[in-house]
Amino acid sequence: MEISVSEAQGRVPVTVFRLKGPVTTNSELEQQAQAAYDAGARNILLDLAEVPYMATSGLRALHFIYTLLRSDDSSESDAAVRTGIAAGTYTSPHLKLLKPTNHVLEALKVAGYDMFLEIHSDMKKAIASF
Amino acid sequence: MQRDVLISRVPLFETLPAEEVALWADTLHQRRFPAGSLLFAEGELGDRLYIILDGLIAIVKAIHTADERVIGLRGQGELIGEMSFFNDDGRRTASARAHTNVLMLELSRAEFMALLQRHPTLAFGMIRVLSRRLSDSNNLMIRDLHEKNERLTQAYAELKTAQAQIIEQETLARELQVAREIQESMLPRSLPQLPSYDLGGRMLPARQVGGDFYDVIRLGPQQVGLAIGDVSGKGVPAALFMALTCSLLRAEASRAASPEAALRAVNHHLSERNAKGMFVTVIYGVLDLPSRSFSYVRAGHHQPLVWDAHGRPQCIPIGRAHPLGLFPQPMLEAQTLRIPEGGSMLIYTDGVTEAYDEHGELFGFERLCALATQDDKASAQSLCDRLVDAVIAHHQSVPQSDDVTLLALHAYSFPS
Repeated sequence: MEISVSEAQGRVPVTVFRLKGPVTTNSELEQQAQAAYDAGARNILLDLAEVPYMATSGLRALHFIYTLLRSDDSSESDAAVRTGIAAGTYTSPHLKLLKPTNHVLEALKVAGYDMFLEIHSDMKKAIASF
Repeated sequence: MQRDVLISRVPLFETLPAEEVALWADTLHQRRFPAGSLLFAEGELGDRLYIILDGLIAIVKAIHTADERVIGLRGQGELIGEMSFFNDDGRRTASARAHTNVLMLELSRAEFMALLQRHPTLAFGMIRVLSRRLSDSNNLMIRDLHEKNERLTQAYAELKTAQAQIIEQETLARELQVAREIQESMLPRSLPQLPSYDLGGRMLPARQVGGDFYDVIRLGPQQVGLAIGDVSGKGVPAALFMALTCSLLRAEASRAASPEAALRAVNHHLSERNAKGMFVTVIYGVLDLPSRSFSYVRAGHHQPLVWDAHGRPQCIPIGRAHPLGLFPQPMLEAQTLRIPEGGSMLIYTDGVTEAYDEHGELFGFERLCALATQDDKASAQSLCDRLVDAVIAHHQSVPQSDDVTLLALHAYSFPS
């Protein structure tokens, strides 16, 4: 898997991770996200248009990034997030996904990731949604 | 440069009178050798010595063998080949190879002996040459011994390290084998015999130990719990998380009021002890034997595959749910399906559908569905075995990347 990182500006700065190739391990993506977070990134858009396949390790990495970006946000109470997760109504304001391929979308839906991670099909709208 | 000047500059001949030098300059043969050519070989009979006028000669022991070693370079004004004149057997003690293009004067044994007789003081010079060669040889030998000793010491240290690593690997392999046996013992040793049902199960870990599990739990005379799980990741961490989940589920299943309650309790324990961010997808449900009703929760796991007596797949709505271990209060939607009379149900992990071949082609749900439903007369166990064989045949030379686990069930008419 290759990861290229770029910056975009919507209402807030957004770090865009463009992934290329199957995601079969979690460590590389987690390390890159941690490095971006340490450098100040607080909003990440994962472009999955060129990811043909994502193993459970990849889903684990998505959850890691979701938790990482939530850890610094005091605007939402833990209780409200818990309630939203349990009801399937909460979506992360800091981590969003762009154009997953059919196979990856299926994996996201089966694992219920589409309930807490917004999935966009347009880059501009995705950036603007943060 | 004139040959007599060159000869007079050879240290051994510095004391020769000018007329002797002039004589040699006229009578000695001059020889040229291109770089890389062999002047003489170790062990040959030697009846010539050479005075190097220009270029370099390598003195080589054990030439053209694995032990070949250059023991010295001789340059302008130096003698080579003189040792065979003083050896009892008259043989060359080393080989000589032109290191560069060389120009030399050649003396026969007879010419050299005649020279010594005319000028006995040359013998002192020869002794000095031989003495220096002996000293060089001794030094070289001692240096060689030191180097060999160091290499031996290093090789011994490397051997000890390698031996320690082998012992560690063997210990680890033994521990992994024990871990595998423990893990296998956590799976049902034999599946319960249920009236009007036929059960089969199979797990094939990708590594020595795996992160998948399945379980069949008797909950009462007419109810049985069926579970299958897949921990994110592989190897020992996944196996430990699998063992934890499997134990928790078995404990909670027997006392929980519903599959949802059981999974929420398991999730509660997993979330509290999940420093590594691992998660597990699970299907756990309770099968009511008389009604063939299966009440279950699909915690981030693939839907069950259900088909009727004619092999027609049944449409099962996808409930919403999260895997266990991710959130303190996950979304877990309870669902119920009914297995048709004479029909079957298969629950499986994604190691089945996501096994890929050398071209990256996945085994896929459609292939699984076609293979599972094609033969309704096979036992549930032979169905699982056949599907595992099909997955192995699919990935062929590509190493198995994920654990493969299946739990199958055929339902017949329940006796009234």
